[in-house]
Amino acid sequence: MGALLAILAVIVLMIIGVPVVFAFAAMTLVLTISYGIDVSLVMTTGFWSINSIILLALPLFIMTGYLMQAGGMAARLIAFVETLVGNSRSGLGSSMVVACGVFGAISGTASAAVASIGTIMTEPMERHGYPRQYTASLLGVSSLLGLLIPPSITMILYAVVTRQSVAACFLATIGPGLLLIIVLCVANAIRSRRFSAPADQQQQKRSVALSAKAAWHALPALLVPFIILGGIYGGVFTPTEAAAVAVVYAIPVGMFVYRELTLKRLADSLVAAATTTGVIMVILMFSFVASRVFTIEQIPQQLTEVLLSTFESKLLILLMVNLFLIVLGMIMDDVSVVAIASPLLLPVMVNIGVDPIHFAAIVGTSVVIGCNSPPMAPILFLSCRVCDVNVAGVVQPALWFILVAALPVMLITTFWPPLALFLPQALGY
Amino acid sequence: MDSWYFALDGLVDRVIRPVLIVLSVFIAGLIVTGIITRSLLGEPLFGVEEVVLLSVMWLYMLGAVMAAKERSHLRADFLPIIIKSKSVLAALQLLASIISLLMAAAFVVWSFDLFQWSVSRQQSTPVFAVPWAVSQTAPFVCSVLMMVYVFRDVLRDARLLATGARV
Repeated sequence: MGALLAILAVIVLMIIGVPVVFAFAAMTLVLTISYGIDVSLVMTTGFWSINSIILLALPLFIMTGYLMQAGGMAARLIAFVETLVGNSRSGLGSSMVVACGVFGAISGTASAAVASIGTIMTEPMERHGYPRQYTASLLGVSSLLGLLIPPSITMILYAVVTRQSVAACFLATIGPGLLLIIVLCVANAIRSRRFSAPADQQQQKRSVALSAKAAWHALPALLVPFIILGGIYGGVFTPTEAAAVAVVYAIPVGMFVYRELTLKRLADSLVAAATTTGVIMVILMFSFVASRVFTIEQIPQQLTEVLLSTFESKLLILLMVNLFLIVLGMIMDDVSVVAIASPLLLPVMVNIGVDPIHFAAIVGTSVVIGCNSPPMAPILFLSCRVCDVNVAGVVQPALWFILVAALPVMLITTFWPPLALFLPQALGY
Repeated sequence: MDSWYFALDGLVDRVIRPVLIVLSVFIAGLIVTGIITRSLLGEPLFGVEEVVLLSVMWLYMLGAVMAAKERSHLRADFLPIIIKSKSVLAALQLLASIISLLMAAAFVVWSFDLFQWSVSRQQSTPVFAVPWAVSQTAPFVCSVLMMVYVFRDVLRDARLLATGARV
């Protein structure tokens, strides 16, 4: 009862506009009062949970995202991607999808992709016939590829709260992430026929030489995922060390190679990254406390019993979990959903024979839908701000992309485990 | 009251901003130095994790203070889409700020408890024997600063509601 009241408190407080961090503090307060938990447990649990070397990968990847954005790497990446896929009729839309995927492989966050790619691509897409509302919706859904293509902040978080391997969780979402890129490009090709200008009027013909030149310019940025993932899977460094290497790499590249990262921009980026980190970490601290109380009170076990006694079929339970994650994502941000729902639902999943690494991919693909579904839809709203459009006009195209792209990918990921498990198993996780 | 907050903002910008910049560079740099000494020189740098963990809590908590100062803590800002009345919105915003203030106060109490526990237990790190209180003070100091800024938000929202200004 206390757990239900606590989750209800979070939802109600968030709906009336209380910042997530204080809504989570309220949840902690309700839990401590309901279950008579000693106050001293709150901060000691919270402190030692976030004071973790593994979790440090999260702020360092956020820092990398900000530095790459300020250092001009995003612009080079987009220019390169555009030379590859920007020549078709629906090319600019596909460029945006692929650029979000590539940028996700670097920054690990959806908001960084929205800010960088949205700022650069909104105007050119509008000039070529794409309505801004359409651009904002495609950007919102595509940017969440950052949650699936490693290094993903969401997967680091999932790995920490469920005590799984970060490297294995990174691998679990590559398949669903690539599938989502393909499906989004196809969906864009179908939908954008209504308004995008034909290719020959749209852009000058791209040559191989132009692509090669753009690739050369983008090379320092394109090396980042290779350094990060190569380092992790080559056994050279841990995910946290990889994130630190990415930060240290991004600074000289932005300053001396692209010459866009001035000392002022460096300082501003570091402060902005620390601010974003601070927001996430205090939320996490409270959600770790809540998670601990849930464990002490055996809430996940009780939830497992209720679900197993209510639904006999594994398929129904999986669908219910999908639905629960989506609804939670409609109200909360991705960090909160992963921090709260993953430890709560993992025992249920394990009980019905779902691999925890597979569940990582299920959570990731479900959050993609939740983050773009009103009422909260944090990423979609951010996308609207960046593209400077009203939310009302964006909901319809966003729902279309969710229905034809994100939802099928989530269902395939949920009911076809090899999509998520093939790579982790092939690499011995 | 406003001049008092301007002074606080100035202090935060002069003190917290540089600390965040230094901490960010220091943490990333130290980890990379550890990799270099381990991988290239074959000599692991002793105590890297310890120093990083002692510093990182200040980075997190001071970052949260900056977010409170800029009022950029994550929130569901969909109410203006469904509610058109400016006075209702202003009233809800004030209510949200008052609840936030109460929760910020709870955060101060909890973090003071950790601070007290830390000072009384005098635990220290295994390699350099640095007291953990160095790091465990961060939540208390920063929760107080966050509460000060949330109090400012309550005052501003109350003024907005009273004057009927735009939200």
